[in-house]
Amino acid sequence: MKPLFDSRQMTQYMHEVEGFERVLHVAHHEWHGIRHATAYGPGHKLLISANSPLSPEDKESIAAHVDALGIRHVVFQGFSDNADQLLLHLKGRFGPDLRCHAVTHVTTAQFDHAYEMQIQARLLTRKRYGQIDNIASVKPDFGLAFEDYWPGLIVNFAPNIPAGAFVREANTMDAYAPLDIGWRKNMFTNIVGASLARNVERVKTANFPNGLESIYNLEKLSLVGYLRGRQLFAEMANSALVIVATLAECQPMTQLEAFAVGTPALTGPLRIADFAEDPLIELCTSDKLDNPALLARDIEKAVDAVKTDPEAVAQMIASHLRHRHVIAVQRYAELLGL
Amino acid sequence: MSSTPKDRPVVCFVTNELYPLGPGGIGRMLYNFAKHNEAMGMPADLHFLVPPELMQARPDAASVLDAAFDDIAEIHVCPDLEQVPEAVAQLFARAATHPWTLEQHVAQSYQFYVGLREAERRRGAPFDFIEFPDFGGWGLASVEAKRAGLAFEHTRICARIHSTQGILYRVERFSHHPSNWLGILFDAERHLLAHADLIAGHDQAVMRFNEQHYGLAERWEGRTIAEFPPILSGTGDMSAKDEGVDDNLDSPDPDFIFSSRLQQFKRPDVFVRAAVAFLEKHPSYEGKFRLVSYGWDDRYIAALEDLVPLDLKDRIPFVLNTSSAQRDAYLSRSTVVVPSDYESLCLFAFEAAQMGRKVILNGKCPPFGNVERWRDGENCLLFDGSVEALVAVMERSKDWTPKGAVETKADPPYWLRKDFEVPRVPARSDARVGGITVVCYGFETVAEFEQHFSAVVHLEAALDTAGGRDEIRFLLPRALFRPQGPEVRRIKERGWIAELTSGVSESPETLCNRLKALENEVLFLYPCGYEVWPDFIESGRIALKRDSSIGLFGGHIELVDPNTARSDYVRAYGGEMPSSALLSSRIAPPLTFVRRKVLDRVPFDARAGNMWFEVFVRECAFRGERIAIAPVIAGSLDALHANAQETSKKISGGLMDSIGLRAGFSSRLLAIDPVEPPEGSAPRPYVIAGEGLRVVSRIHPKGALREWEPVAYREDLGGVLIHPLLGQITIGELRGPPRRIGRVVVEVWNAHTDNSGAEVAIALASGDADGKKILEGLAQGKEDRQLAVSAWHLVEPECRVRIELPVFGASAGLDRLLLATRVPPGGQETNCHLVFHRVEAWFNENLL
Repeated sequence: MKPLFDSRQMTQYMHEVEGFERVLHVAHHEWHGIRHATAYGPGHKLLISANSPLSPEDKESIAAHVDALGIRHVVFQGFSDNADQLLLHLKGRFGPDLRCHAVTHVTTAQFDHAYEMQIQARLLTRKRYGQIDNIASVKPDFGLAFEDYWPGLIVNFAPNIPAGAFVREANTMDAYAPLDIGWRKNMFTNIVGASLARNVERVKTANFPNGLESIYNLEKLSLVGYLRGRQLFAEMANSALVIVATLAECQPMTQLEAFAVGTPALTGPLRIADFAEDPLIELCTSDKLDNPALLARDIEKAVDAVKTDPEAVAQMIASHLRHRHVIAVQRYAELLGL
Repeated sequence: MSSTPKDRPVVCFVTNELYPLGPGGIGRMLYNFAKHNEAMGMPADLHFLVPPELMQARPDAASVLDAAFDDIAEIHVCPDLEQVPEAVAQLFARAATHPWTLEQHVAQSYQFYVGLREAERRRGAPFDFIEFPDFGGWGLASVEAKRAGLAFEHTRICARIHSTQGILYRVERFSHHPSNWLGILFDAERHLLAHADLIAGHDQAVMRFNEQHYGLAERWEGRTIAEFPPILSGTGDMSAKDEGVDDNLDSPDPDFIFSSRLQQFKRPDVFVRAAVAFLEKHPSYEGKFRLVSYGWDDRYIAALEDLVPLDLKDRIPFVLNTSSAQRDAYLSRSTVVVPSDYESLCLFAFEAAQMGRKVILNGKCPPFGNVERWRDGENCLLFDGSVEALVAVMERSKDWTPKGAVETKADPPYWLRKDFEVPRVPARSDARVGGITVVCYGFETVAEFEQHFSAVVHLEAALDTAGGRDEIRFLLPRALFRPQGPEVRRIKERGWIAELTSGVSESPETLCNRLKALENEVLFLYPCGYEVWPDFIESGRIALKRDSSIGLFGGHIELVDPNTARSDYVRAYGGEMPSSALLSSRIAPPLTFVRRKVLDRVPFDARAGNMWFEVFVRECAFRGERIAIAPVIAGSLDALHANAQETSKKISGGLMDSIGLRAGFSSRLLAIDPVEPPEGSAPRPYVIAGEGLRVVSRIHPKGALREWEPVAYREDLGGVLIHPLLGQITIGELRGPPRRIGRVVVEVWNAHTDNSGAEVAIALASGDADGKKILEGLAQGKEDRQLAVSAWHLVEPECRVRIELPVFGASAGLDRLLLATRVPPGGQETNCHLVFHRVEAWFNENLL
């Protein structure tokens, strides 16, 4: 996969914000969640590969585009060996005229992969040597736990989707759990919890919970498979609730994508101080992550809110997104010194 | 960045050959321009743009060019598209690897376009002139970019007449295998000549020949200039006696030489036949008739050699691939013969005459006959192109001596002329585009409407619908949508327009009349399955405003991988390509701007059925409608629609026949069986196979029944296992695509050797059909309006079965596709590993 500037995939749902014309975000082709988080924010976008090496011609070509676009700030969204090479190349080419920053999208729960810590160590070294100005995080209070990180919180943008783009089925009692396989994503608990929720008629999933059928009646289960783009948004819009009650997260994009089409999305506690008083976040938060019977009650509560007063939920979502995007712009502006 | 004095014109020549890197007349001429410019004191700033392949032709290419052009011109190399980090470039980089396709051609011209933009960026200013050779059609993307207002606004794009492939193949019309690729090439060459700001040539007779061939007299009025190019004296030593040259020094009779390339239009056959006839007539003649040349068609060269009788082989030798020193040595003692049917100038003839050689030329060749420069008997000998006449002239040449030199003084090049102003383009801009009507159509299901609606919403930012200037109009078939239905309501809530059309799909003629009755001058056709890139709306507005003669405006289409949602490949469109249109519909994409008045001249043809758009754009190409295809991506096409049929032999045959009838031929062109273009004309299905079958889930029977799951994807077996259970029907389900399906085809394999065989069936039920009805339908073979079921088929151990089920009546998009198995009467369920490894969804094949 070759480097790619401002592809349709990365600009289709972005927020246009004045002042970000000379900002370039660098994300990776292969890292879907971070790629989405990057795609929805303002500024130019560059995708590089995390796995295939960058050739000298690639780096030179990227530098030429950075020059042509008049970029003054580069924000590395996630970091890799390739990103590191690119950082050094760009700093070598543009020196202090180009300010470089990094936003890390990792939680400490992921540190059981040693690679994640190696990458953080690399970032800290680059900061120490002045190649990177700031390292920020989308995980609340990451900067309180580790030195040398920017103390503020980067807030993710939801996709910019015009209201009414996707039809919402008024009486749907479907819950949608578009979860990957793997313990961190907690798919089995989510499926059982949603199936136990009395007001949920159908549980739509991306993956089949292999083996669960031998101990649990999966009557409500409907496998919709992996969906992407507008098909994913349409499926979210056609659900009463999206469920992403995973065991460890920063700011899950699935939740923000659901919000963007007017559907509430349940997660574990994200503890974002800016939204501490937000009624939508209260409705969409469960701390019963390893207890399907109790998780079912929180699911019922959220589905019931949609069923009884959909207009109120819609307003909560709209209000939350307005607030979120104001903060998201402010934080990036602070981080970059715009 | 280079700086250029304000009054010094900046010219960039685009070329794939450049002296001293290899042979080639164009490359030599361009080198001469640079040397001539140097000799004049550098009155112009000259640049050359070459493709990377030229630099890879030899390891010292860069240093050779540096040495040749140091301080007299700047060399730019097109970037490798793969290294350009932009989506369009990446798509064309992949397309360039598909030989003999429109995509390959557009990719090549796109590479030159990117190279020119990059060269402009590096020098920090546009070029005053960009010159393309007429050969190859490499200017396609650059010209279209200029027409679209994307680039080169202040640059004149010029074409220089060398020799187009189109002209050469007119002369060599019986020598080449016909193909769609030739059509693309001819059309692309013509496109440059039809849209260049200036046409430069070297000889009036040649320019007239081209003008007549291409029928461009009106367009070329005031845009052509004939100027004699600089010719530098040869570097060879004409008195050389190179070692290794076959010696005929003692001969009292002069030698003759053919030293043009061994290619049909150069007519080496005339030279050989004349040589043979001459020697038959004069057996004691001691001079030789050499062909000192090269060529790339070994069979053609062998055929030429076979024309020489065995006893004359030593008198008419073929000296192939010799060094330039050896060639010069042969030339120094020979009378030069140029029997070509066509030349645009023939530098070789001028160089030979300058060197004092006797020159025999074909007077029927445009630049040689009836021209001031070559005068029969004075500075050359002319013959009429025939073998007999050449023999006579050869005889005459023995005692003839040139009485005067040929005039080779270079004219001032157009970029230095003060007395010649190229007309501005576009010539007919009226600078007014009213509102745009976006026409959304082509829905076969409500699900397709939903998908399209969510895409169209994004267009609001690019249109002025609130102010009433632009409008978004949905055409909804009454068979699917109600006037008071939710879809119509949602359309109206956004301030758009919903129009209900008759039945399932209305006649193309009715649609055409509907569009003609709209108020806005410009329509943007936005069929279901496409998703426009919003920037393209603004591109269209600019292009149509800039040039009021453009009737259709489009771009290229990105195809998206259905599994990853990533950009997959590009489908290119050619625009004004009347030759390619004979076989291919890749003229303009269905997602396109159409100026409404075009419909008055070229209405939709109802007889073309569901291919009315393809026939429409091809007719537009035949009739000379102005079509611009900008070198951008206009939009994406959903993978579900990507396999739709683009043309058919019947459509191509019908179009050709109508052309023949219009031209008054007595021959009916329906007698010709047209070949299929590379993109193919057969429809292809949407396939769910391999990993895609993981989504199949069990809907019957329910609950935990065995210690193993009867419906499960099996990587080791390459499909989904639907295990029959004794006394039950096992049903796995997957959801169909949003499109309405015409038929479903599945392939099933009984993967185990040790079982008693099992039965399989398939069904399709509409999305809201209930499970009980499905089960009954499968058990009893009962169909209804919402359900189509196949018969049960027995699959023996290790055998495969293919089941085909027509479903168009029951399908409504997002259907339930059901894969069922059961144990046959008296059978056992043990080891009944029935694996579905391929499900094909074929869409509507109704052509009306």
